[in-house]
Parts: sequence; C-alpha cells; structure tokens
Amino acid sequence: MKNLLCILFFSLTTAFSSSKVAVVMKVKGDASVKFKESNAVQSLNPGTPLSDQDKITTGEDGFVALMYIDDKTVVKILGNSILDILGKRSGATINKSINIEYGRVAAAVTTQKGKEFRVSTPTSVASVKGTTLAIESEPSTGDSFTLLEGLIEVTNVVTGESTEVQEGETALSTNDGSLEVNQTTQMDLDGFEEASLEVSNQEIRFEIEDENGELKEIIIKFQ
Amino acid sequence: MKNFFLIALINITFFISKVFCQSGVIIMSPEPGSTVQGDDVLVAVSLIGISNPSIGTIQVLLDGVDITEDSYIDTDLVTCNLENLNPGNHRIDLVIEGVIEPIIWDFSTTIEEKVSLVDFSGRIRTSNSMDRVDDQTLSINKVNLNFKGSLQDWLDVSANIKLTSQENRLYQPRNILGFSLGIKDNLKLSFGDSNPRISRYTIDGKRMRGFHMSMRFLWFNFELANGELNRSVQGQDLNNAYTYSIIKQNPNNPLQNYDPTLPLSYIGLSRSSGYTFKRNLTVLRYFFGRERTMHWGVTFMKAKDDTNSVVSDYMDAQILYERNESGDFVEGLEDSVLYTINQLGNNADILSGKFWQGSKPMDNMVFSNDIGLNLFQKRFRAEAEVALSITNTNIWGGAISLKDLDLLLDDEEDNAISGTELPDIDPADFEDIIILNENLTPLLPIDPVVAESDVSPISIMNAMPGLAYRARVITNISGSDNPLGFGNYLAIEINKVGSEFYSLANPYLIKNKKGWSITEKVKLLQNRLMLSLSFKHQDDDLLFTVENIKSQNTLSFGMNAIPGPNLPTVNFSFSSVSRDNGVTELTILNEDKFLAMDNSNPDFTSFADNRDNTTTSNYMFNFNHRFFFKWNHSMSGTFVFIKRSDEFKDRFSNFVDPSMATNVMNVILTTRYDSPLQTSINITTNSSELSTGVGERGIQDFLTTSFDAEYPFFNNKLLSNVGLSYAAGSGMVETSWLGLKGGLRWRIFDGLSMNAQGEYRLKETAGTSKNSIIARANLEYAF
Repeated sequence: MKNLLCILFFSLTTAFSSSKVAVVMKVKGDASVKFKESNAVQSLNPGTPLSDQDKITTGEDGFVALMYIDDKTVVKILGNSILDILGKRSGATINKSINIEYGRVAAAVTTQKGKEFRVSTPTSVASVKGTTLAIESEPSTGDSFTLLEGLIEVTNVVTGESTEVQEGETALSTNDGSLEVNQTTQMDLDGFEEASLEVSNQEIRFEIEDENGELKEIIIKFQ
Repeated sequence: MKNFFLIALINITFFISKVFCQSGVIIMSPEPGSTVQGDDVLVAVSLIGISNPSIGTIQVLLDGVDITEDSYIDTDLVTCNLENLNPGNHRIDLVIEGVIEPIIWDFSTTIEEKVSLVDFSGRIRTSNSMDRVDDQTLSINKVNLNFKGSLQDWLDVSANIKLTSQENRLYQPRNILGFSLGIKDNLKLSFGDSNPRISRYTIDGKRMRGFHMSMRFLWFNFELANGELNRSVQGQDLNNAYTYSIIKQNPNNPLQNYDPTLPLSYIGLSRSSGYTFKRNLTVLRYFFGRERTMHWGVTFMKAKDDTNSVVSDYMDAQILYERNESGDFVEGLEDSVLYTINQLGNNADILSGKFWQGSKPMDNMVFSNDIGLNLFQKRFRAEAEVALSITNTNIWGGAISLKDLDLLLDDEEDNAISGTELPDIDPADFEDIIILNENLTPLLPIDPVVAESDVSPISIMNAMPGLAYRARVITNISGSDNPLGFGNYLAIEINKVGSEFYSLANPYLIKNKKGWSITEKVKLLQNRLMLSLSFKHQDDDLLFTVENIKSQNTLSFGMNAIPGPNLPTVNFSFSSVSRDNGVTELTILNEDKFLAMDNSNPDFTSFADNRDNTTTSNYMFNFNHRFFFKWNHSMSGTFVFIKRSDEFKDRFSNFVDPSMATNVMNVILTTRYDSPLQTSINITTNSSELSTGVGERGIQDFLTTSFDAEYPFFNNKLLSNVGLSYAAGSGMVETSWLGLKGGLRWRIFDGLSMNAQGEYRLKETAGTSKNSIIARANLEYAF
C-alpha cells in the first residue's frame, strides 16, 4: 500500500516534470524536497526521482543520499543543510553541479569525462573532476573543502583567488576573502560521521586452481 | 599458465561487462553481489543509456515474482522499495522490450546492521624542525595526539595533547593538554586547555586552562568557563629581580609612614619588569533559543589578576649598591659592592606591589547582551551584541579607603569630592565584585559633554567609553529562489569599541574605533559570473572632545568569471582606500617666525606638518587556465598595481612624501606529464618606488623564480620532491639568494607516514655571503 502511494505521488509530481537527473537512495530523519517544476514540497523517500534545480532541505537529524543516474556519482547531504541539485542532460550524460546554501555535504564523484562537477556556495566555487570530498558551508563565515581522494580547484568568490586542493588537504575559504590550504586534521571531518567518508572499495573474488593444483584467489577491487 | 590467466582475464571482463554495462542500463541499487539490510531495500536502475524505452513493456521480477505493479517506472528510471525481505540471496530480473536479454543480478540481505559499541579514531604526530639562519639556530620538537571516540551513539570523548620543546616556565604555556566529554548535543565538558568562543566581546577563542561546560536543552542553554588565561611567570633573570632607591625617613613628618624597625635611610626594593600575574577568568552565559533560528543571550565575564602569584621575596637576588645622585646613602653599606638581599638584612625593605616597575595587576568585568535571528532558512540573518566593561588597571593596594577617596582631589577631609558629597558606601564592600580605586576606567560611564547635550541615543552610546557594540543584517538569496535566476548577498554592519572598553579575555579588539560597512554581491549565470561592491567607513569620532577625527573609507569592486570547464577563470578587483587624520592646517610652533618666513627658504623650526590625507588605489587582475598541450597544464597569472598619493600638494621640502607605487607580476605554470612527474615554474617580478627620506625617493626591484618537481614511486607510496629557487634584488638594496630544496613523503603502511623536507639557501647582500638551512621531519600514525 505504501509503495502504491509512493508511486502515485511520484507519478503525479513528476508527470509533467523535466528529465530526471538523480534518485534518492537513502533518507534518515527530517528531509524534504521542493520540486522546481511544480513548486510542490514533499518529504523525501528512497526512490524519489530528482530533476534539475530541485531543492533539498534536511532538518537537524536529517540525512539524504542521492545518486546521479548517469554515472552513479553520490551526494550525501547531512543534517541542517539546504542545497539545489543541478543537472543538464546531454545525451546519456549529465553536466552536474550542486548549489549549497548552507550545511554539510559529502560527495563521491565519478570521473567526469571532459566535464566537471561544480560545487557552489555563497563563498566559493569548486571544480571537481572525480574525487571524494566533504564540504561544510556557512554563509556567515565561509567554507571548508576536505579532499579524501582526487583533486579539486577551489575559487573564493570574494577575491577570485583559486587554489588546487589535493588528497589529504583541506581548503578554508572565508567570506572575508581568505583562501588557505592545510593538511587535513580529524577536526575537519567532525560532523561527517553519518556520511561514512572512507573510500568505499568493492571487490570481486575468483577462486582458481593452477596447474599444480594450488588454489589461488584473484581479488579485483573497484569503486 | 599464461593461457590460464588469459582465460581468467577474459572471464572477468565478460563478467564485469555483463553485470555493469548491460545495454546502457545502469544498476544503481543494490549493487550486484552486495549484502544489504533486508528491512528496506531500494531497487534502482537508470535507463539513461536507452533511447526511448517502451515503459509500458518493462517488467520487474524479484526472485521470479512480478513486482512491476509496485515499481515506479519512467523513461529514465525504474525504482522499487522492498520492505522486510527475508535474509538470504535474492535475484532481480528486469525485462525491457528492445533489449535482447533481461538484466539479471543477485544480492543478499541480512537482518540487521552490526553497530559497534565503541568507535574511536585518532592521530599521533611527531615533528622536528631545525632552522639555522646566519648564526642563529632554532630547533623545535613536538608530539601531537588527537583522539576521538564514542560509546554507542551518546557519549563522545576526545583529547587534544601537544608537547613541545618550546614549553618554558618563562613564557605562557606552549604545551596543550585538553580533554572533553560530550553527551549527545546536550552537554559538553572540557577540561584543561580549550578555546571557548562564548561571545565576541567576552571570550572569543583565546586559550584558557581550566573547565568549560556547555549545556543545551531545547530552548534553554547555559555555558560556564572557569580557569586561568595566563599563568604566573616570575621573570627571566631572578638574580636581578629588583631595582632600588634610597629612602629617607623622617619620624617628625606626620604625612610619612614612619617605620621604626627600619633605619632612617634604607634601600627600598621593587620588582623589576618581566613578571606576569596569574589571570583568573570566569564567564557565565545563559541564552534562550536556538542559534540557527533565534536566540537572546546574556554573558557575564570576570577576569582578575592574582597579586599573590608573583613572588616578591628573592633573598638570593643581588643589587649593585651605589649612593644616589643627591648623595643619599645607607649607613654600613659600601659603594660599588654587590649585595644579595639576604646580606642587606635590615638595611633593605621590599616595597609593596604598587611601587613595582613592571606590569600592573588588573581587574575586569564585562556584561554583554546579544540577539540573533535567522529567518527563511538562513536567507535573512540579523545579529547584534552590546557590551559594557569596567576595568581597574592597577589593583595593588586593593580598594580605596573612604579617607583616601575624600582626599583624592583636595586636601580637605570634608566627606566630599570637589563639593560633591560622598555616598555612604565603603568601596571595600565591593572588592569581591570589582576593586574600586582611582585606577578604575571608565571613571565616568559617559562623556560629560554629551551627558549635558540634547543628542540622539546613538550619540550617547558612542560617547560611552566603556561600551562596545556591533550589529549586522545579511540577506542571502540563491539563484533558484527568484525567477530571474540570480543570487544576491547583501550585508550591512555597524560596530564600535569604546576607547576604554577592555576584555582581558579578548585582547585582540581594537579600541577607540567605530564604523559601518555595506557589501553587495550579485551572482549571475548560475554563479559563473560574480560581481561585488562594498564600502567601509571607520573613524575614531567617539568623544566630543576629539578635535581631529581620523577616518578611513574603503571602496571595493570585484568581478569573478568562472565560465566553465576548459575555459579560463578571470578575476579583477579594484579598491580605493582614503585615509585622513583630520588635520587640515600646519601646526604652528612659533607664530612670529612662521609669519616672517620666506616660503622659498622655510624655517622648519616654526611649524610642523602633521597633515595626513592619502588615497591608495589597488588594482588586481588574475587568470587561471587549465589546458592540454602535449601534457596537462595549469597556468595562473596575477598582476597587482598599488599606488598611494598624497592629497596635499603644498608640502614643504622637509616633508617625507608618503606616496608610493608598486607593481607585482606573477606567473605559475604547473605541468602534469604522462608519467607521474609534475613540475611547477614560478616567476615573480616586483618593482616599488617610495620615499627613502626627506626629499629622497628610491626604486627597488625584485625578481624571484623557482622550479619544483614531484615524482611518486611505488604506487604513490613514496613521493619525492626537489626544487631550485633564485631571487635577486636591485636598486636601493643589492641582494641575491640561491636556494635548493628536496624531500620525501613516505606512506610506510596504512595510517603510518613520514615526511622529511630540507632547504639550503645561500644569500648575498652588499658583498656579504650568509647561508641558512631549514629542515623539517615528521612521523604520523592515524588509527
């Protein structure tokens, strides 16, 4: 019955909407979406499809994980956050970006072939080509970008200053215009526990027997 | 054997292609072969790679049972929420007309996720550095431990420990020993070193050693900080802990306190400077509401120096005795002889603290009120804080007595000061709150000129020397909130810190300043183009008695364009800073001489030119571009031009011209090669023209270049780097230096890493060569 209602609601709210760009994978606590097309606001559920410029809001205990449908790029939105999901369809690929008004967001971005994944906040813009990162944005102070893997370029929009941020580094971009990069400390990831930010490896195992009759195991790890 | 691996490889490739790349379909959830919790499983498949799928023909099967009716299906997505699946293996079949084979994958479910009872992580880091500059060497060793753990989901513990070779009893602590305990978001207790941020005008991040508690329950919140801001330091050279004077007693002078235990002439000893008092702090804050919506808070802060914390008696300290310039001497002592305090015996007396020459102990109280309002999901934000301080800048001797108060401004004991009758209260009764004596500041809460004037409440507030306030309103609208699609940020702020406002827990506040600012930022084209405009005014027009008001106006404009991938980002900014000290005329020192002066041959002793009115223009252009030309490159270029000009054109030749001009050009090219090699070339030129004295100007040019390279080995486990740098300066100072650096970062195994860097510089200035060596090494283990 619950599924039927969900399907009915999804169908109604998305019947006249633009193409989907992402789907909600996991929801905890208070989380809602405001659909750009219909201006309707509804609670988020796993499976809710999202289109360009839909706005997601999480409450204090809220958590949302969503996945882009072209390359499985994952965006995790932690409690007390607001962001816009942006995505322009171009054939079977999507030009992706997120606009964080405030809050904490983690992303595992698949390598964007010839494109970028943009993150914009009131203070900064970051260009991402494939990486795992954590972003904390507070309009009255600024942002932190913590890189767990890959490479991003962060621009402070007050001064226009840009810097590259590498794995193990955290960029602090403040609304008084400063932009600095430091080695990541444990404090930089405080508050992101729900996002389980370790780089998630998956693996396939094959057991094989060589000509001498010895058992060997081939493990392929991939992300 | 070779065949065997070939077959295995083909099988693997086939498996991966079957599982993950079937017919443009992307399996999003659950991952094939994965194990997930069975209570709530989302099946999600993207059809983005299939052109015009016939959604009416799509069929979804779970373990062979048709669940199409329970699924959401459109041209882009198929999703289905499955609840309470039995533990074990499951299979999904997705049948799409036009796709030759059904998409099939397996996954497993479990009953519940295992949640660990205890979770912890941390990092231990040791670091060593050695800096040898010319003949000076500085070595520092440090050990840092950061630990964080949680018990289930409700109890958090953390530790922050730093031990350094810089710790020295002659200075404030460099070691950090901090521990904290938290119960969800409701209670946090910190012990040892912490940096409480309670309110801007009380304590706002300064280190404190003691206890800090933060309690939050619904709309009721309470904070308490208690500890020491400074520890006591007795001074560096305790052998020379005293200065002295020869004091002559007159038993017949009733105004002098005659001490019959001391000779008529004796040595009065006072502690020389170099000591620091232990400074105790207590802050209490109560606030009602929630910071992310609205709150109202009151904060009380009390900081007081402990006068007993500096030891007064050092009996082994020495003085070199000499009779004074007036010929006064102490009987029994010989000139030019070194005496210890012990040896002086009854011929010396250690004076009370109010005669000491070093820093004076202080007593400070701040009362602060703050409000905050966040509306429309932080799109509108308003905050304000107002604080009043009262401070005693020298509490030696404690509270003033009623008799001394009576005699403060006149010699008549009439229970009145300048005709105003004293209230019937004893200042000593308030010693536990604040010590009242002649060093209290502000003595009057409001400028008396203003108090008698008919002026606005803001003028009255500005005229209160012990008052500080700030208020800020921000609106922040994102592009998706308005139909025109542009984002807008507007901030307006006013602030003031009175000339006698003290917060001993926030020594970084700049006193005697008030100002206002407005900042407007517009974001266009989905944040790809940003324009900003701001104006800031600051002056010291706080008291009506200020004759010449110093002011500074700053107008700034910025433009940032970030057009998109493979296109350069461009930034431009301009700011104009006008400074004026309010002096518009020459200061006449001798009017007769000045009036008789021939301007072509000025008499510089007759006047002084204290006028200061300058305008500084600052232009900055910057671009960044990533491009591919044989290899991947990132290039950035920056040009800065600053010009300061004097607004007065009628200066005499003895005036040191404040005008100057400087320009800086910088280009950086970073290249990533096909191999893991990365190089970076940095070239900077700087040319400045400025005054070097009366009527003299000079030019100084600098060229700085560097080349750096990084190369990783063993799958990035070992990262090596080398660099070469050269700089030359010409013009007023001829100088050059050559530097060579290198280092290694080694990930020994998961969590354990080592970093070692070294640099050698050879510097030559005016024909003299010197060198410096910088070395850094650290070992880090994360768990």
